[in-house]
Amino acid sequence: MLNVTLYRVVTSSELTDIVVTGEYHLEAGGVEGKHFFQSVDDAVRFARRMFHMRPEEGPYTITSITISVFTLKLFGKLAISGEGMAWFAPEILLPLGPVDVWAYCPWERTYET
Amino acid sequence: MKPRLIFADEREEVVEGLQQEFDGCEEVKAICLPPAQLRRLENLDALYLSLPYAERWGAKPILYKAQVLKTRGKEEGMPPFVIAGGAFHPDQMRDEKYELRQVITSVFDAVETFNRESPEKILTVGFWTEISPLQFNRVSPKEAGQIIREMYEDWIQAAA
Repeated sequence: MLNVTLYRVVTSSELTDIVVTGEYHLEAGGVEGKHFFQSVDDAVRFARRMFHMRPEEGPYTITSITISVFTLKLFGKLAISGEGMAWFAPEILLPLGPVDVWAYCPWERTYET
Repeated sequence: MKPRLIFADEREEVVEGLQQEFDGCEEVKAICLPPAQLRRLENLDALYLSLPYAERWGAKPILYKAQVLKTRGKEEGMPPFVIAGGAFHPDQMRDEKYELRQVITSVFDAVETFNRESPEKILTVGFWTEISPLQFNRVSPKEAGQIIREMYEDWIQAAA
């Protein structure tokens, strides 16, 4: 079966939940679903920007999930201006797991233009 | 009343390039400010964010449109609203200028609809240039400033 890996950047509170459950859950508060990035570079850039905007929340953690291409078809695919390709898992697909928590943050790749 | 637009960047050369094009248009400004301060600016009613950044306020994956979402305001160090957008069809051919025009148009439309339908009003919208189509890889600050100013003035004229 073909599998794909998607990357998600999480806050410390979401990380705590993942460590306990091993899954992505919908937090209380009425959010609609969860965004994932197709590339780890886009996730790293997102984490850096989030930290720059909300430093009081502490560092963000990269996580990933590997799912089948059949499950992926249930996600919404979006091109996000300035961010790259993202996938949206609606509420109905959650919880999702198992989640891999990255113990490190890769260096953001830069390209000559 | 048309909202004022504030574009924040920490690079002086970027702010200068944008502001040169905004000169004489009091409602559109570029300022040198980090995003953590931009979001706490007094009198800022809304901050533009692309969809993943606005997930916590319930941003939905809507293509080509912007959505106004309520925050908890000062309690979480945010303006009262965020405007979430910037989503395109993944197979569509795009370039930076197209994306800039499309995002700015979608923000104008969302603000106009919100101000018409809500007792609360959005009168000042902030953009952090790093979370926007303003990445300056292929569009210079000057070119981006020209596009934004033209669009803003067209919008004012259309409403007059």
